Amino acid sequence: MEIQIDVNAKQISAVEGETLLTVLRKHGFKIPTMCHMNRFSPTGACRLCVVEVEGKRDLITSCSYPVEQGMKVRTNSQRVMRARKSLVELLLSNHPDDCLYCVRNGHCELQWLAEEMNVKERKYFGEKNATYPDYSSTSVARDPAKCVLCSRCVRICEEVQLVTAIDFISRGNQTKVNSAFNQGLNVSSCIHCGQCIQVCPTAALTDISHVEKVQAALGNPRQKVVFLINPGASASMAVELKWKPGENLGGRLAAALRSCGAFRVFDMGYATDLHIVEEARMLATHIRAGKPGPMLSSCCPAWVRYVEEFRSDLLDNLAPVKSSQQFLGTLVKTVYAHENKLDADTIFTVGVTPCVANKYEASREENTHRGISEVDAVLTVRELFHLLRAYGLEMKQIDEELMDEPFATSSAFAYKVNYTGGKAEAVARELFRIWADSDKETFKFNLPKNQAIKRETRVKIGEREFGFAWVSSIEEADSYLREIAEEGRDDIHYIEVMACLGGCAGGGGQPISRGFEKPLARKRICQDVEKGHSAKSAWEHADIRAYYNKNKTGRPAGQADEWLEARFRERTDLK
Amino acid sequence: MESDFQQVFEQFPNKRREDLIPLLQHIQDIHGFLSEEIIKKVGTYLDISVNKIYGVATFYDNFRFGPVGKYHIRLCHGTACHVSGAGTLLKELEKILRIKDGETDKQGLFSLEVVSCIGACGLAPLLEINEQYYTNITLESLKELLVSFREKENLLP
Amino acid sequence: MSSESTQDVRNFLVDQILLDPGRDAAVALKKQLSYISGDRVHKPMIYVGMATCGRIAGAEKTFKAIKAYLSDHQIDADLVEGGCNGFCQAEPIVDIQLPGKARLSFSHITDDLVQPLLDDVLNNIIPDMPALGQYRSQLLQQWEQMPFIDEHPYFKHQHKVLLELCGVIDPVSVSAYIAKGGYWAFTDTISRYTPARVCDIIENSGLAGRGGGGYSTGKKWRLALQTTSDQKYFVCNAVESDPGSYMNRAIIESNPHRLIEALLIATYAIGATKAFIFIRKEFKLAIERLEAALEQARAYGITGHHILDSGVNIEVVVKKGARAFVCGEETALNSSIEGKRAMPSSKPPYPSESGLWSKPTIVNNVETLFNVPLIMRNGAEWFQSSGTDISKGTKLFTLSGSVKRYGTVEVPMGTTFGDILDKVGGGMSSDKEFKAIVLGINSGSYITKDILDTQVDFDALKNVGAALGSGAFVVLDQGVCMVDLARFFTAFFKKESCGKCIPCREGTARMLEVMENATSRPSENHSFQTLERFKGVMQLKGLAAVIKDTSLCSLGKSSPNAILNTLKHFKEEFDTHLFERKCAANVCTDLRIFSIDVEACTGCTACFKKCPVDAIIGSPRYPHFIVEEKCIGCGTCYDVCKFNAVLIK
Repeated sequence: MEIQIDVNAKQISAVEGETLLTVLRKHGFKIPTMCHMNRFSPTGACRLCVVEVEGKRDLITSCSYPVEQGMKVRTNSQRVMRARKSLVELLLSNHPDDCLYCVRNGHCELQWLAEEMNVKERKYFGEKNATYPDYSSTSVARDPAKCVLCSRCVRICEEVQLVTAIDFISRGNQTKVNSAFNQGLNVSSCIHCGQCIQVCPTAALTDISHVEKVQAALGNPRQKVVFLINPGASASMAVELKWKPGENLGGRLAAALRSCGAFRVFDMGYATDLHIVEEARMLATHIRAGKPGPMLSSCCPAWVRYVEEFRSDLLDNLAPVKSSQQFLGTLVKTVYAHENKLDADTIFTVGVTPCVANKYEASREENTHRGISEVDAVLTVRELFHLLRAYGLEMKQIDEELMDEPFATSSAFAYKVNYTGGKAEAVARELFRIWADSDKETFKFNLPKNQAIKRETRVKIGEREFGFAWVSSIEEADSYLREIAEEGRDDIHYIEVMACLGGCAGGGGQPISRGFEKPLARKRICQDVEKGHSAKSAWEHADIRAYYNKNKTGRPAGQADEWLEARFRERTDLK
Repeated sequence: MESDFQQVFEQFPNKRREDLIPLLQHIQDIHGFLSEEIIKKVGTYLDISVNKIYGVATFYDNFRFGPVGKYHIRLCHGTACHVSGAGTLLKELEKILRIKDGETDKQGLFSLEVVSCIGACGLAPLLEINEQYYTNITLESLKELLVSFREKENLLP
Repeated sequence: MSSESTQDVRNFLVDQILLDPGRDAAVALKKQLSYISGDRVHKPMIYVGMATCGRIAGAEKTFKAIKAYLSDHQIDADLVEGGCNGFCQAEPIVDIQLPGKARLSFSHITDDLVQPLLDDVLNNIIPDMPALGQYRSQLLQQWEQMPFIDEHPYFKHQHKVLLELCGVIDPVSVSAYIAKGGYWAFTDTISRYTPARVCDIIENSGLAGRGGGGYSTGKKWRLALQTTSDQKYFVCNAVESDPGSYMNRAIIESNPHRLIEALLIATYAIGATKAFIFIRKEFKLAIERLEAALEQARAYGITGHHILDSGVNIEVVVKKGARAFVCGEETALNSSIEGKRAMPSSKPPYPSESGLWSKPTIVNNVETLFNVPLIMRNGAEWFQSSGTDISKGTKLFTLSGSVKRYGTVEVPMGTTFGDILDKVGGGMSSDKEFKAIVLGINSGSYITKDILDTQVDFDALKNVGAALGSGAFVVLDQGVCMVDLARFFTAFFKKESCGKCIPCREGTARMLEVMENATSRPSENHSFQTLERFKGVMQLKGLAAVIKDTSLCSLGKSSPNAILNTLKHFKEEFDTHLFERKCAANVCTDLRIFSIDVEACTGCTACFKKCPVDAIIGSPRYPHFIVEEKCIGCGTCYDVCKFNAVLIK
């Protein structure tokens, strides 16, 4: 039902049941918030969204208050503005004054708020809480001193990822977001998805930076730095720099990195195609062997970690294939090194991805062989920007170049796998290629009408139908797996699971973005590339066919055989 | 000890979230404090994340994560006790025992807990040591009391 | 109790009393009831006040001594572990009732007094011991030369309604409670009234929440009754976390059945079937008695499934809560019951719509509920007849501090604070002059000398800028430093803040720092620190206003009250601390300035050696001096001087 409310002496209409904040924002009133998260129930913790409502004794928080017919709201009265400013000043009074040294300098919500509220002097003096930063994890760094206790990370970790690696510890002024027994994230149940970094308003949660490591390697004449560029990272970069569709995304990046001193710049999409083909082969084996339950994708390291930690019963269902980053790292350090007569230990491989968990993945025990890591460092898109800025590179002035052979190209699907659903389609297409009689049948992958409700489809190959499903976020994965288990369904053969909301387009290593606008823009960029791409599937990618012509089993001979094996194990860290 | 915990667990067969606090209380009653190991066990039993349990336990004043001293001193610091000098007593206790609220000294002899209103405001200030009440405490009587405990310990083999 | 078996007593009480609407008229029953209730006894009855206040005063030893005495002398008597009659100062209290004679009450009976007391009383002699008096009775023979207990100055000015049975009946005897008229209101309620009608009666009575808010109880209940839901809950808030009061715990310990009865009525009135009593786990005795009482009520068929064949089902559960002040806030309390961190959530939605497990839930505190059975039994008009136009009924206080008589007191709304202090409390206990009364920590209000004639009334208090609070009543004399007290309150709030919202979490810490600056002397007084101190003070009022305005829950909103009220009533004292750096009451020890009496100093060098900042100069055997600029006021010299030569200015 439509109702009328009065805001700052202006009549606006609202729908009954909406919160005041929703209505105000819809009509263009700027209301600051800190604890508010779209799609989550309001907590009312930060109090920044307070407004004055006629007839109410206290200020009310617009995020939690439902609109009422005829209510008179003031969003910018003296009282409201004083309250908001004081709240920010109070936060600042317990915040380290090291913006200049802060990784979020210029991208910090607290900084923006202080600027918006016109905070120009320190009002409250006093002791700051003693805290210790936690750099124990391989992927996520925490600095509780910068935490404003907005609870966004706690909620996403608990409600979206079902992990609860961090929670509020202690009470009152001593409250901290921390792991159990204050032991550090490395021994917590953290799955390294990095969603907490995405939602953190300040630099309380950041990635474990590899920028300096990479810079050191670039400056070391004995080391040959090889960049492995995930197509998702170039797509993300395109969004940030507002590149026009049709521009060669990776090409400029390749040129830029070469000017930084890169030895080679490879397209990780090449390995993505390999990964797809391999996973489809495994799926064929899985189905033929009649293994119970659907096969689960294993390209997302956070998801793999979740299974190892919380659902060890599903370990056998994970596709035993290396992720594209580790796949390519392996190929570079074995086949490529061998063919080009290079010492593996002089090659320094750097993954460039929109993923934080890739940092963790690169550090996994089985991904290092006798002291040689498949991937030596991983830069998130955020760090990539830092690196490029440090080298003084203006991307607009850089001309495109090609990536280096032999891993220079990828198929359209290397882009498609960046958003949820892409991987499932890719694997389905390959399965179809393996089993179908391509003269008589055509591949059809029909998307359901409402993907918000149903994320599965059926692919017909010969006389049989195969079920493919895709979910993003652990919560979705968990409820979907439970649902099919409870209903006893055996018609789903493959489930693509991405730990981040929306897939890698919403990855933990992406530039910080509130809401879904940027992930959607990244998805659109990927879709644009797909349209103009000549290799419509992994197998249509000529280099991949060449690879399989050379290595019939999919595995190059020698050392790589052991290296290419994917291993999963149960973990008993803190659940 | 192991079977004691099992018995406590059996009292909560429904394994509901609301059982968490009573379960922790029970275990603390038996064990004296909550160790990491126990919290992990509770987590496995109730299927709640260990972080959640630790978060809940640290929120409340009465959960402890280390053993209490042989003499567990609970000092009442309600309004009436404060105006009769409980604040000074607290400072003195902290000075003598070199521990703060919620801590246990290195020898494991004394531990200190500040509570709000034991409920004998007329006899303020007062403290409770191992379920025994000591009322109308002054700085002098406090010192004597602590000395008497120390002596008792030294006399024992 | 007579020789009848417990089952017979149960059947009698249930069939002929609880379920019989004609019971009030049946005179014949009265005599039988008076024996069950303990009003009359067949053999000597000795009643020891053994609520927590009694136990702290030594009642357990007294109890043991009496037990030993009885067995040594082979006396057949009933020995009762009783409750508190409210006069905690008089504990241990021992009441003795001999067959046919009125009940006697003696105070301060420590274990060594048991023998002489019983020697005399059991031989019909009034001993020469402190007595509170004898109970008034029409049925029994009164003692001569013994004043009546209701004329005792402590009780004379009280109006005991909620405390009526406290310290009188055996707290864990369901039969005694029923014989005294208990559970009658409940059985009448479920047989005569619809839930909506109960809400009406309670609303008409004008009963308002005693937790501090003062919201109409009946209205609150109706909100939950009108919400449709498959499940509703009623919660009794027995957290009582105010550091200056314990009366709710005292009345639970002394009369747990009244709380159970009240909860049954309330739960019925909102259409719920499950009630929780959320009580702090440390209240061991209260929990013990409550659980024993619940067990008895269950055995009588008064709680549980299909209560007394009425078709009404109500389950009452005692929830032992973990300790945190914020649990007193209703949404936080609900979270705590659910097994979570007790963090308040924003309202709306109110618990009456979405509370425990998102179901409609009503939370009332113990004192509010204690009124309910009486209102149902005597009617809304009866309740309205006491109190003021705005505030009805009576109010409980925990009277403490520098007052002659203290304990739990009950006065009608409308009594002035001065009367409670002078008439009930008997005036100041110390020779120091009266300074103020502090009402609970939530209200942070002070009743100073000029407003002592304010009535106990929600509106009257509002007019003088105060709030009733939860029921603490701490009397302060001139020896108390109000700045230090405000600091104590602020420290309490800082410690007890849940940490959820910014103003309360960060603001209380900042306010405390300002208060600490005012009551202590920094070790090195740099000019910029002084500047910061003044800056902090200048911001204090504004900060307090913002905290009050923006905090999420009532705990946060009330955290600056003590500071604001100190600034209002004791501005001068505050200024003296700040500008002259002096504490008139000599409580803020950091502000002390020391000097050495040249006449008394022997030059022993003890102070010279111990001074942590080398602020003392002098040579052995000659008088020493303190360099004031260096002195940090720690008081070490004062403590070590054996010749009283160190003086405080």
